[in-house]
Amino acid sequence: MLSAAARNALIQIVFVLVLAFVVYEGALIALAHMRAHHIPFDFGFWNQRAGFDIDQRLIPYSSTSTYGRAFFVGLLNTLLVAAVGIVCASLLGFAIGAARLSPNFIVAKCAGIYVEALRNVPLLLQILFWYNAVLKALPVARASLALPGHIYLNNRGLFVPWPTFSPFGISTPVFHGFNFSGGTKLSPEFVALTLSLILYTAAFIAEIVRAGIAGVPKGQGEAAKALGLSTAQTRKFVVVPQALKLIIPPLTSQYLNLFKNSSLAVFIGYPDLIQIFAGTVLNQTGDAVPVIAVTMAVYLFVSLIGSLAMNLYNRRVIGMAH
Amino acid sequence: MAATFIRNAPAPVAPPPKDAPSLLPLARDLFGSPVSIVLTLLAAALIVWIVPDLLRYFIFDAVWHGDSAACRAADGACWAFIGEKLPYFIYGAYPLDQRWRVNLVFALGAGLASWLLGPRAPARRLGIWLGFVAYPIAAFVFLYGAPLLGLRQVSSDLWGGMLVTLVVATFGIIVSLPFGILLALGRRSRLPAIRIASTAFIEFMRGVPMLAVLFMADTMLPLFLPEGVEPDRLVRPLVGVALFASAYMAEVVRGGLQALPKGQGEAGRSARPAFLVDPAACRPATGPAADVAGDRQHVHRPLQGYDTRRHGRHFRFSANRGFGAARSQLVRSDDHYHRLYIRGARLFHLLLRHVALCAKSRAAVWRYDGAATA
Repeated sequence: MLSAAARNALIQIVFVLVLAFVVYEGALIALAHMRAHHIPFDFGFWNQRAGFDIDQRLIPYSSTSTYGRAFFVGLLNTLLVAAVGIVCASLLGFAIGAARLSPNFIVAKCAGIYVEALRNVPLLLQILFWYNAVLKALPVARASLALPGHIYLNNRGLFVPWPTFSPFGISTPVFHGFNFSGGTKLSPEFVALTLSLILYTAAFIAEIVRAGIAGVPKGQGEAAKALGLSTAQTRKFVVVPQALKLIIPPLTSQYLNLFKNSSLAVFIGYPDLIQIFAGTVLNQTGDAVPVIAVTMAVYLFVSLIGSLAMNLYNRRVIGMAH
Repeated sequence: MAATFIRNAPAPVAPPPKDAPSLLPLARDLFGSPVSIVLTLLAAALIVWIVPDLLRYFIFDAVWHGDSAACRAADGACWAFIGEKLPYFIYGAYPLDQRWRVNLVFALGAGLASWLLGPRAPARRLGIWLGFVAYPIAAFVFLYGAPLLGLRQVSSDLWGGMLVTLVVATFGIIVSLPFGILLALGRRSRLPAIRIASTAFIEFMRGVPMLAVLFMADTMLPLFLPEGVEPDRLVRPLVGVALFASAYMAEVVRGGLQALPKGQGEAGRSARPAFLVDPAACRPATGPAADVAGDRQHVHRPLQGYDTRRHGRHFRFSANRGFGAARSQLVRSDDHYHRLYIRGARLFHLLLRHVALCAKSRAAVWRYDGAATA
């Protein structure tokens, strides 16, 4: 009979050998396949001329730029949607979560209907709804919907005032001729994607906030009241600090979900990382393995950073509790 | 947060609670304070603003019967169009004369689901076998066709609509359960190699968007298949969904195992030093299906082998002996749910062994072919 330690070691060695064998055989098959079909397997494409245009870009880019440049354009577009989405979804989600706990019957019911309706419809369907049924159905530029604050909405997108730095001031969109000048244009794709991500994620954040506040034992608030703290003081010093400990870990994972869900941009043609890189670049170069590997690595990197931050936070909170 | 509250003067005595106010409780909630009044009015305005338009669009101005001209003339929803296209939404381009096969699969699935979802379902053991083993096979035979049985083959290119949604979802659920449990146990293993491999897989799948996994399955899967074999158009997303769902299921199961008080496992090990896990673990993880199991905490079930590893003298982890012992122990139990897992695990063990053997011989052949053509 082997000792337990020897047996454990044996099991692990066999496991690693089997895993290595599977990976090795898979790689051999894939390599033979790629060689037979002349599929490239390197990053040679990175500095080649891309030859396609991208509508929305945060850094200078033209069709003469390289594939590498296109990668960064897509990455920044993804990060833009994620950043705007996270900020707005947090604000909306906290408001709706608070509304669900309101003693006011009508307010609580409205918030409840919002949460249940938005959580239970697939996000992709919501994106397609906002893009095809709302933004594409808007009037032409001449008949734009004018919103307060010099904001105009039409089927070309959302035209909003934008700060300028030389001369310093704010430029507002003005309609003349056939289109708007001044201000800045947010494309319908960007508006539809960001809006649906905000509305969808806000429903989940609202539930997290509600659970967090409801998770603070009722006696805590009552004890604070008994000590003579006002309602506002009870909320500020007793309920919210304890609720935050419950709220922040799942909130972080909602933020990461929003970041990952932004990849659904593909379906409405918003030029995000997947659409540009794992879509157009992959189709043009055929360089499947490196392109998919880089795309995966980007998402994985951001997600792991997020998880790491959350674990550190968790450890700190648990440390405080002891 | 360093929030300190120090009271340096006595708190004013709060007034005694008044007698019940004249308003009804509901009215007090709605109009009790200025803030409440404003919120009530805002919410009411929102309802008045949205609801009539919705009713008008979806019901009063909608076209229930008629053609496209009637729809263009009207302002409301075109339900007539939806009604006409409904078969396409459900079956896609599945041949008209073969749609009874899809209906049969739907009906069987609905029947099995309503059977198994009851908390005190009769003959649950048989139902689970039918639902998790026989039904998928039968569904595949009926949907894809089997010329031997006189069922015409229907290529998956023709499948569509609700049918594909349900096929993908059912496949994901059925595959992710056993693999998710294996991965969760692997992640809690005390053997570093198994723990690291399971954790890496789970974290990888959870760290990337589902869409990226589907892109990967779509572009990379053909690379791992032999010359001339194009993976079916539907198989690629199914593989992606299975990988993705297994990782998420693993975390659900792990959450269930973690929610179990540590003493339960320790008590089980001291009472019977085989590999045991408490059925209570399954309750948070598997929901209603495990309710029956969760009620019997005194019966320890051999679901998990790794926890006993440190008790070296008693370590008896060998697949066949383990499952055999598990079976004999289970004979006295009337808990079908766990028997399913033991048998399922056994089945998967056999399946994986055969797959491994087949893969090995196939790989040798492909490598030989590759060498010959290169």
